[in-house]
Amino acid sequence: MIRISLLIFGVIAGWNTQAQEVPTVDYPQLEEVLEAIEDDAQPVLINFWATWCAPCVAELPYFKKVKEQRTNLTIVFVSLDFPSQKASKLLPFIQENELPGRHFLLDDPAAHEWVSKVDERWSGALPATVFKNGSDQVFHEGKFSDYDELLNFLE
Amino acid sequence: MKKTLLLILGIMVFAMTLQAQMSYEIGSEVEDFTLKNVDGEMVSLSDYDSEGVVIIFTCNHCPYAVKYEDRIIDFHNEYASKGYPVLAINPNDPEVQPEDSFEKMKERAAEKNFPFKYVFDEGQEVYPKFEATRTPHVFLLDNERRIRYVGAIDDNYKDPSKVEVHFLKDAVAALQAGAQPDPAMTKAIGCSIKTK
Repeated sequence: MIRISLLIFGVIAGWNTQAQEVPTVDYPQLEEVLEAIEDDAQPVLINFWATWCAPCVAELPYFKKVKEQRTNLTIVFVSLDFPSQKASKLLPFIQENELPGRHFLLDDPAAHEWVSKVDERWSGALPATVFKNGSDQVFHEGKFSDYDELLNFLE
Repeated sequence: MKKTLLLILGIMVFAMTLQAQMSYEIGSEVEDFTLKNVDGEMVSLSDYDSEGVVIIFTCNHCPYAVKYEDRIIDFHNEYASKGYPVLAINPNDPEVQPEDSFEKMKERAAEKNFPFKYVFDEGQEVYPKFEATRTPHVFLLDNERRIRYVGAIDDNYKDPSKVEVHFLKDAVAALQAGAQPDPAMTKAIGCSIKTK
């Protein structure tokens, strides 16, 4: 009985940690993990978003769909939710909406420095999406108006 | 064939020139505009006879804008008398973001007792000329209403007590000293301007 309880507990605990693996990082840390991810697998799509950002939330289904259709694509979601709302908003949102991919919470107030490092073309408005394939990097600021626009972006 | 190419090239150059004329950059003189303030009065840029004007595209709903509300109030309280009042403009389409309707602007201005004008870019004809993309987004104008600084208020949206560089205040200080702000442009994280 104890063993079964332990087993169930272990499974739940394991499932929980997996579902809630959303490290909080500053920009240098994010840069480091992104480089590792890019070294590991190409192509990579990186989306900057937040649960409170309506246009960001509106385009999430396109990313889910594209991930289902292109299994070789790595998706990284970088949330700009406020760290105080990580447990109450961000984690439940990711879980309920079954967002695929890797997730990070970017907590770095030096936006005047890192916005340009993400992409020179970014003004800093959310949402923003970067797509890297080999040495090519394309950038999109604002919401994708529909799924086709995302597909064109990935061409 | 050559002629056609030249023609296409000519059209492209012409189109690019048009594009360049349509939006402002550092040094551009800002055209006058008239927008409705939360008190119901119409406000024009030309109403201001101050040394400078600090135009801030901002709104009700965006968490970054909210984080900067008190700092914008403090800035205005300190700098309006020095000739640099804030003119806050909500550029968002309330059909896309209902929190940013004119009624809600009035409510927010009353709640926070905004000491500056908070006007509504109804029809969204003003913000595109500035190429404003997000809230908050600051444009500092000099005595000739030329744009001298564009970007962030300071270097820490999260915590005013941890600000190290006061970009906007430094830019004003540069103008007061007769110099060009350096940096003249900074980037900041913000909410995209809501449009259909």
